[in-house]
Amino acid sequence: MGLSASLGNALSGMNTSQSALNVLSRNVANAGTPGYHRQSLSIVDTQGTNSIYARSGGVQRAFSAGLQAAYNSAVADTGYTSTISDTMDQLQTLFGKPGDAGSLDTVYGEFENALQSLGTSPDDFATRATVVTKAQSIVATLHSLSGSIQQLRQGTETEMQGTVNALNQSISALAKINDRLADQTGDEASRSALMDQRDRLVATISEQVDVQAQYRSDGTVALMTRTGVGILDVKPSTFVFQPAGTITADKQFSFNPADSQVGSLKLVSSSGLAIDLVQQNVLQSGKLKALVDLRDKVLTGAQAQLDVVAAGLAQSLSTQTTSGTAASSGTQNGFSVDMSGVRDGNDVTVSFTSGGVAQKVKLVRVDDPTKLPLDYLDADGTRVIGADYSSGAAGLIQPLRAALGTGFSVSASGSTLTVLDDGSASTTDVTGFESHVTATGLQNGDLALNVFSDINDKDYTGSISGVGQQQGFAARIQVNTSLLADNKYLVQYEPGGSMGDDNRANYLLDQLSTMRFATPQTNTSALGAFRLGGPASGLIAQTMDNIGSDAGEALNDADMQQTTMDSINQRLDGEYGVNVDDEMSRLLELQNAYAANARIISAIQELLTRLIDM
Amino acid sequence: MSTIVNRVMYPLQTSMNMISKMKIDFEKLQTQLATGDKAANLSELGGDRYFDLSIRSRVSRLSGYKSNIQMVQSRLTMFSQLMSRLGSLEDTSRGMVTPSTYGSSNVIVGAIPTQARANLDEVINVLNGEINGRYLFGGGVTDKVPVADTESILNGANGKAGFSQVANERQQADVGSGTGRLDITNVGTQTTIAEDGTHPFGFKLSTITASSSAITVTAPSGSPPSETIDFTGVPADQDKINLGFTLPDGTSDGITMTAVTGTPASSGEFQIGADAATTAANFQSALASLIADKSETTLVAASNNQAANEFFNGQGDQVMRVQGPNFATATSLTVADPTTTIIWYNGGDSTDPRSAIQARVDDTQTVNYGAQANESGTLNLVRALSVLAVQTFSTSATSTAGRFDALASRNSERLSSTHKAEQGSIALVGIELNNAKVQVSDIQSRHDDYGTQLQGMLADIENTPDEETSMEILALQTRLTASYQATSMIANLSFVNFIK
Repeated sequence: MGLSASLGNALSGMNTSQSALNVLSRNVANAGTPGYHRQSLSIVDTQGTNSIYARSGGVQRAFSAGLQAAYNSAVADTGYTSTISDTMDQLQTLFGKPGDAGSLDTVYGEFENALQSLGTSPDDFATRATVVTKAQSIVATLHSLSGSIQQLRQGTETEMQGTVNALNQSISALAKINDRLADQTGDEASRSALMDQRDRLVATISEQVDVQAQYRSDGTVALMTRTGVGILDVKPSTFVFQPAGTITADKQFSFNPADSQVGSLKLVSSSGLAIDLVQQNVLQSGKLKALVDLRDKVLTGAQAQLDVVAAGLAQSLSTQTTSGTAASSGTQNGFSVDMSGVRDGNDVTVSFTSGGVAQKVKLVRVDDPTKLPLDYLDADGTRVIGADYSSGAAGLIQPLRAALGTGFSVSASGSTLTVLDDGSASTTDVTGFESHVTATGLQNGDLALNVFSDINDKDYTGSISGVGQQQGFAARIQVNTSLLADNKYLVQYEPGGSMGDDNRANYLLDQLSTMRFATPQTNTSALGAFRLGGPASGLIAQTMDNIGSDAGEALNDADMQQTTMDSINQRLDGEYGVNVDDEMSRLLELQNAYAANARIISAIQELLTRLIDM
Repeated sequence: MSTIVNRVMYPLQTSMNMISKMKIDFEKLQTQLATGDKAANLSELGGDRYFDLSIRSRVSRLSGYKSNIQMVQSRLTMFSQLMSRLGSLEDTSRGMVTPSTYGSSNVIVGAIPTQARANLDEVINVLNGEINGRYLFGGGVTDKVPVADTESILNGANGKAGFSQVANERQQADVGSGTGRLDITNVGTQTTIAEDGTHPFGFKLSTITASSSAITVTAPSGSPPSETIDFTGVPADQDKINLGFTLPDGTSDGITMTAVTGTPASSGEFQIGADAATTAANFQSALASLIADKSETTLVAASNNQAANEFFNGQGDQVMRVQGPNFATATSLTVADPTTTIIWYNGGDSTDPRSAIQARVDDTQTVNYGAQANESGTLNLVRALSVLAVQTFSTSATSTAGRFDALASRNSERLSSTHKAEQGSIALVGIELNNAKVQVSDIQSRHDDYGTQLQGMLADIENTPDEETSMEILALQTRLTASYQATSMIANLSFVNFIK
């Protein structure tokens, strides 16, 4: 052991202090840089030939794979919830608050009031004109709401396109960074900067698509979706989005690629293998998933609710309900109904009690054979069965008998269908049998009137043939042009009838409050799924309530997710962030160490001088 | 696009996040204070949303009912004015037709047709009363004038016959050749009175009795009916024969023929001749002259009355007139053709006029307030006034007094207050409409109460009390100030500031 050893030690100390200062200055300089990970210098003591000196063990970058995984998934979820909540917030603003001028419930209330006045003053031209005007404002409101919803859907496609472009850029950038990281020759500082860039890119990608990142020991990263589809593993895959052009209510997603009318989103691997992300349900979270959900579920659901409202309004006013005539055979009692006028989408409905339980069976006319068999429970609990009416009343015996079960006898004669209970056994009772038929003309004696009609004055019958008349009806509904031309039809249900006759006005008003509609029971927990039931005004209230509660929920989710994000952010800050106070105290420490080492060198120099001068 | 990532990766202090959240709350409270509304959009209404929507639809419906009620009220007010006017017109008309008030030289009687015409004018005006183009007395047909105008009704228009023509035709049919469509013949000791055919016109034979052993009568029989008076001997002085007739309007009239020994002092007496055949001949000529008299007075009155019954058709009836021409020998009535006859009432015809117009003033209650001009009260008023209006009372003619009395007694009976309790009388219709008015008012006040409650509930959901908001703002302000202070203090507490 000699002075030279001490000198070596001191020099090595000064060296490490310099390196440490270098790292420290980098930390302080980047204290405010987004995505900068704190670095630290590890110093090791090393056994020399005759000394133990300090040596820098390399720059360490603060990093925790677990925290990073949590962060990536939180970013994806936040991307999802915030996208959904932004759009839902817009959607609920479109609907307005209850009672706002122009909101759906207000225009409906005004229409109902106009009909009430019509019942009191059917002979007054101005009163009739008001009914027509209010009907037009309902139509205008439904059109504007549908239009806005479709614009929002269109917006999701535009945004998907942008998102996909940004994603592809990020992925190819990440692939390049991977290449550079794989090259181990670079100096440590620049490697750290590359890794910061890498993590930033992974986070950016996570926001759009939910990814799992696998950090390799060489610093590179491999990405795959949470469902396990590879996005980047040395070679990058490409997201491909093919927009569908103008989105309308009729254009909907279908799991059958041939039927799907919306833009397609695919992931094409480097080897050219394409996987449809929506068809295969690959996406679980992230902004892209939110856009797909909005386009195909949430906004489509909102449109469908409007369609139910529009259909309810049209059918309330246009449906002529005819009660069956009482029929009996021996001790068996029941009803007969004439089904000859029943149109595609119209129905005959049997009310009965079986074993003391009141039930209803609705036999809907379905002309499209591809929709058969049709058998479901609607939101009101009525069993709805599709039937082919083409072979007359006789053809309805079989399906009705099957639906009613035992204890009933069903028979047909001409166009008349008769349902009887089991007579003296009294386990069943037929309590009602009525037909619901869409009015065919303006003045054929029916009180029902097609106030609203489908495009080109086509009657709205609720037919489910093809895509179904209901789909997108809110965007097509119009006030019957005959009414616009001459509002006397609101009163006169027979040619030459008295204009003072309030029967039609009161019938229309009664129908609005008594005719009930119900959507099929569907999986209500699914996003965008809904269930409406009740009279027209109830459908409107439920729709607005649904939109409001969905929006509220989306906003809540986004808020909660933001809170999660905040707490992870805090942890990131603690783990990766630069604490200037720490760095400053470290600076003092290093200053002292450097000074002390320098002092040692100068002491050794003094000693050496003294030795030489001796 | 990478807003979340940038925000997250930049080590923004969490306390600053909290502060910006507080700022947003602050702005929200400010908006609440300015608008008084608790929620700015659907989602903020929270769990009360559906409740709010259903209350609103209820309130909207109530406001619809309210405007209906106002409309119905104004109509009912109009009705009550019109009904009271009709009531007083009925009273004055009744006063006009007091039998035996002829005035000196029949001056009162002479003026009656003009008065009746004036009253009829007003009655028809009232019956054609409208409010905002809606006719009140047309039952369910509110868009057409229910009653034709007076001039057309009385005198016809555009080639269509009015009441005076129809009444005149009926009068011709009833009077016939002046004997009230009776043939009175004498063969030997036997006088036969026969209707001149099977028809609804003229005198109808109903009863015959004689208070003499010398006279045998046979009751009316056969088709057309006839009766005979057979003088089997010479009747004694003051022996009487009572003949009963039914008049066209359903009233009956009796004739008493008294046998006298001297020259008959008045009509209704016949001289007892030397033998039965002479007496029979005397009887026949006395009877014929009496019948001729009656044909100018009572029969004409009854005929006009019946013409009014047929021309002014009541509920469910058709307008009838005599099949003709050659009305004097007419044998049947026919349903009037609207192209040749004025139809006085063109409104709706319902057996229950009140329910012809229903107002929806509540979810379950309807108020019935229809009225028809052809209901019994107004119908009889129009009939009576029209009959009087088409008369011409000559102050000199001998038949004037008799005809007036016959008309007066009939029409004062028509307008008598004994009919008040009958369905459709002016008084009863007035009461029923007034009931509707009371009912509507009751419903209105119920709606008002309910509406107030609902508005209160809405306010609870939608509004926020200013005091509460102000207090919240104050509390938030304190918290925000404290946070600002603490944050700035912590920010100053950096080690950098303390290194020398």
